Amino acid sequence: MFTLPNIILPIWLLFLPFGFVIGLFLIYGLFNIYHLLRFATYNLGSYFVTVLFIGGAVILAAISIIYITNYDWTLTWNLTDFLEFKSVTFL
Amino acid sequence: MMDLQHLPNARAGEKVELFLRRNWTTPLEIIIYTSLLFGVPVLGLWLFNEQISDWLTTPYIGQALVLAISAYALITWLFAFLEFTDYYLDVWIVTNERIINIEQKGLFTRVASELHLTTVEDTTSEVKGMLHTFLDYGNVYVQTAGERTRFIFKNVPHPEKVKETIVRLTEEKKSKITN
Repeated sequence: MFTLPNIILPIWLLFLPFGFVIGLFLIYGLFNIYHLLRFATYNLGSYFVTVLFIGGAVILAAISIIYITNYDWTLTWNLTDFLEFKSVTFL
Repeated sequence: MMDLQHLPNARAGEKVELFLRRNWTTPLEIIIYTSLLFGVPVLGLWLFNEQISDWLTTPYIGQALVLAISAYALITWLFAFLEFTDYYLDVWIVTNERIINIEQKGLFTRVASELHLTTVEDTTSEVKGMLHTFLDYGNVYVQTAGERTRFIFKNVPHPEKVKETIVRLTEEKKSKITN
């Protein structure tokens, strides 16, 4: 009889794809700011939009951090329970 | 940063006659799309508040949902900024000596070219569509005698006036050389 191995995944693994998204955001955001500062004309408009972007990003990051810190990230997800539940459901 | 008073390779007596970007409808579109991309999910969160709250308090689902919403918001904000930069860095500068075409194509491609007014053979303005007609914006095509691809001023305001200005400057330049 086939027995499933005990697969336990920590929930903080979700930070890996999230961290990838944050990395992309930072790289593209910084490049964008560099382009505006390097190639735009001397104008209040480009400074204003840059400040607006950074301000908006900070606000979004702050809200995200507030919500993220409310959760317990030490939990683990037992995949075996999930798979056994599904096999029982289909039988 | 580019200083319009000190353009690269400026000639003596060169002055900027026109500094053009795409019409104000372009950043307005960006604002509208961004508002929709933020607003529709917020509306959904408000309409299905109880269900969403249940999910947010459920272990595992809550964590995944918070990270997904956060990533979505940051990416949407970034795309709005990228689109604005693309609009802002596309410029067309017409001086009494040359036309400078600078186009930002994506984040890592930038094309800058210039042509001298003496090589301009044909200038065409085009206004197509109801909105373009009411708001008076459209394309201006500048063609040289050579094989070079013509410059296209995309969605600039008052294209007819832009065309007239280029034609006038071209004739003035050519008559100066002739004399």
